[in-house]
Amino acid sequence: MMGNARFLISENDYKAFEKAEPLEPYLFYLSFIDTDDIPTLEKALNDCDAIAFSLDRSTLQFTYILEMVIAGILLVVSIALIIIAVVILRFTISFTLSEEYRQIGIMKAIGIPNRKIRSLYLVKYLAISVLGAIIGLTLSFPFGSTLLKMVSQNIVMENSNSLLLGVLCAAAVVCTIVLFCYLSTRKVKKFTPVDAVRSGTTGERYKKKGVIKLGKKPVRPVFFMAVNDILSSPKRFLIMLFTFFVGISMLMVGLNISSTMTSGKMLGWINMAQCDAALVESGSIEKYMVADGREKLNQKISEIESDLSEKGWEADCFVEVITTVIVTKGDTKLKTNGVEGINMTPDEYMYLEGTAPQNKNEIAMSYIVADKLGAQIGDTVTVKTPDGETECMITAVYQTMMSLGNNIRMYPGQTYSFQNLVGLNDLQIRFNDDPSTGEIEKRIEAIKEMYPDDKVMNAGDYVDYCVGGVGGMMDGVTGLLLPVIILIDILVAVLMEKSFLTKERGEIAMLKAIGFKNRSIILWQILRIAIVMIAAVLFSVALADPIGKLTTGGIFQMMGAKNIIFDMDVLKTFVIYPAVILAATVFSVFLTALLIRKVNSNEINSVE
Amino acid sequence: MAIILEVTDLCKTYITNKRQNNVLRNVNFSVDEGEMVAVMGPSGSGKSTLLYTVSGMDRMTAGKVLFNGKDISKLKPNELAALRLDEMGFIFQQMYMLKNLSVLDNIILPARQSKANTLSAKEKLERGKELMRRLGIIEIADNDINEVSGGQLQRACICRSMINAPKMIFADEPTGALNRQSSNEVMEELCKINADGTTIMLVTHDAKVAAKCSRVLYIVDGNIQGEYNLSGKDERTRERALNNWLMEQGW
Ligand SMILES: Nc1ncnc2c1ncn2[C@@H]1O[C@H](COP(=O)(O)OP(=O)(O)OP(=O)(O)O)[C@@H](O)[C@H]1O
Ligand SMILES: [Mg+2]
Repeated sequence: MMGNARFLISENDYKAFEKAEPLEPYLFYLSFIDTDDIPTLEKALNDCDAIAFSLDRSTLQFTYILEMVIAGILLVVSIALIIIAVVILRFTISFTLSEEYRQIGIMKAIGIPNRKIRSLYLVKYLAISVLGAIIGLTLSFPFGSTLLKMVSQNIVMENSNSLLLGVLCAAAVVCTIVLFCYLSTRKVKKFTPVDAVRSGTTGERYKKKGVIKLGKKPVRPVFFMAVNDILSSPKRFLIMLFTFFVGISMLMVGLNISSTMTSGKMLGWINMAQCDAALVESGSIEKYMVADGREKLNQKISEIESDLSEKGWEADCFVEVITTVIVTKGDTKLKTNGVEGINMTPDEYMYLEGTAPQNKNEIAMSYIVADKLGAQIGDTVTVKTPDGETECMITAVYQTMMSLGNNIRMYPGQTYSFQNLVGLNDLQIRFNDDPSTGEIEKRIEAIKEMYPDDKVMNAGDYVDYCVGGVGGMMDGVTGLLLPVIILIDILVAVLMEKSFLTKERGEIAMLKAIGFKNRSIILWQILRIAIVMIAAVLFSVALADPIGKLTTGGIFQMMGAKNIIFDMDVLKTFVIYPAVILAATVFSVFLTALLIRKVNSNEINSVE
Repeated sequence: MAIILEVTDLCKTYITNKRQNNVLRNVNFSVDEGEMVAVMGPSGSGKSTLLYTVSGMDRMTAGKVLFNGKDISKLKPNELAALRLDEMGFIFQQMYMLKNLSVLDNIILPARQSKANTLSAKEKLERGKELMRRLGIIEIADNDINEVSGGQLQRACICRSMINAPKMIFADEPTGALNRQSSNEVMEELCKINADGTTIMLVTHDAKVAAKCSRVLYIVDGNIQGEYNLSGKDERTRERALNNWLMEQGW
């Protein structure tokens, strides 16, 4: 069903919908088509004027959006994980190499060629990555299917060849890793036999170190030492900064999507007008999707408006209705959705360009529909509704995540008898006196008492209701994201700290010998990583906007929304979550650095 | 003269692979304020261990060490650290310094870390420079650790050990890695410091170095086998006398 995309429902979903209680009354609309010949089916459906699937369509579409969002988040997170893994791998290799420069130098001195030395390391890495691949592959069977089930029940995935495919993928991963390792061991070429003989430190011996001077600066010495260390080996700390930064940014992106998806602002992007509250009337579809539905609905609307004004609240009440239309421009014919706001003028929706339709011969369309038709503002198209055909001029384009960006907006009253509707949304209420959030909640409580049979909710909850528990699922995703990011950061930080402890054992022993307390030395070690971590948080916060546009924007764009104003939970995104990550990471570094207590100051003369 | 270091029945046992190694066995000696004591003895006899144990760098197994009236076996690790920072100075064979800090910063580091040292940051810096000037290495103040010679670095280590004006300096083979000329220069500086009133205890293999001290302890298998007081102004005579004595000890 082009233009209305992705209505081929899997067997699982069919069962799921069968179970879904609120949909029960409309199940008879749903036909279960068992076919593998999807293109034929698609064609058949496109040619078919009658509406084959007529359940609460918006629910389906929202659900699909959610799947897309989660799939998008997972995609972004996986990419971030891969980047981090590559960076860590790279760091580990060059670290081991510089630790073992002596052995490498000796091997070279006795005449072993570079190639041999490198292959020595490669065999090691090959063994490790094959082991890792086997473990990963084994775990992927139980976890993979669970994950798939969790993530998507609507996207049908071919499961039959998974073993072969899994093995092939694992082999490809191993090959990539080994190739990467080979490239990373280029450093071997740089070591000379002299390195092994020279008693100084590594090949860095002649590199200028201290960048800043303690002198008479009024800072605590351990703090100075930490900052100076960072500035002295910028590359190592930049790598760390980068991994932390990627992790935290990912989390922020996830949180942004989550809070944006659950805010009332979402209404704008699903091409609905902003409202303060919504009233979900049970049985509304049977009630209004009939021949005289329009009159009934208008009557209900004015009823509510007068009820509210009796309470002293002037408010507008409106409803969004959806039908199937065929839009033709020249030879291009497109079946899509037409939406109309009942008791709401087209001015109240968001448009990217142009002006809202002012009469029945004007329409607006999503930029995706416009692209498909090759139409621009000012062009004239034919709009065919179940009731008839009209020539309309396109006056505006907009974005919507409804139907993945496929619909057109018609001027109210232009259309169709209500029994041909594809669906209708719920009664939205907008107060005219611009009340505060608290006041809205108070009024909602009152409205609940006025209409005890119906569900009343605020805009955010309404979005959540439409999208089908998006809040809970989003919280689930970010809830998963937080521990994953924390784990990665801890892993990186502990790895780094361990390598520092090995490298700086002599210096630590010396500091102890001349009278530095364990506490001060541990603080020195922690400070370095904490400073990098804090810098990463600051960078993430500073770059949150462009990165959000790039990633979150990309995900929303997939769904048809071009420019999004994110709704950020500032406290959670910029304070609480970063603080949690910071605390967890620093604490794990602290635990690692406690090993310092085991370093004996008399090791000073035995350390090389 | 007041006793600054009093060691009674000091024992130190290392346990490696379940085997006991009694490195120090009932060591008794004391050091007066202003003395310069050399510890000599064959390799592995426990000289370094003795130095580390009496300076609180390593825990003793048994016995008693009074430093400046304080029983160091009773001190907590943090108190020991403070004691080493404020009242002791250390010079090692390997000229250990923080490699990311300049020479001058390394020297003033213990002063900046010390709570007992009440000089201002500026005064501490000045004192560091003054010490460097006195030891003739002021021109390497801003150098990296990698950019100076062994002799210069060891003199920088002496500066660092002096920065908090300690009561006593412990030195483990301070000239061990130096050539004769640098060794002489370093010893000269230590003698000057000693003449200014700082007590010094140093471990050495070099009779020429030991001859500059006021007393020599000869340690064998964890026991002080002999003790020799050096007297006389002339270096040659001192050295000859010490060599004779060392010969008797089985040097
Ligand atoms: N940390 C330790 N653990 C176990 N045994 C040790 C330790 N440190 C030293 N020893 C042992 O204690 C003994 C004395 O060592 P010490 O370093 O005190 O000798 P030394 O007199 O300084 O020798 P050298 O002149 O070679 O420096 C040696 O047998 C050594 O093996
Ligand atoms: Mg020794």
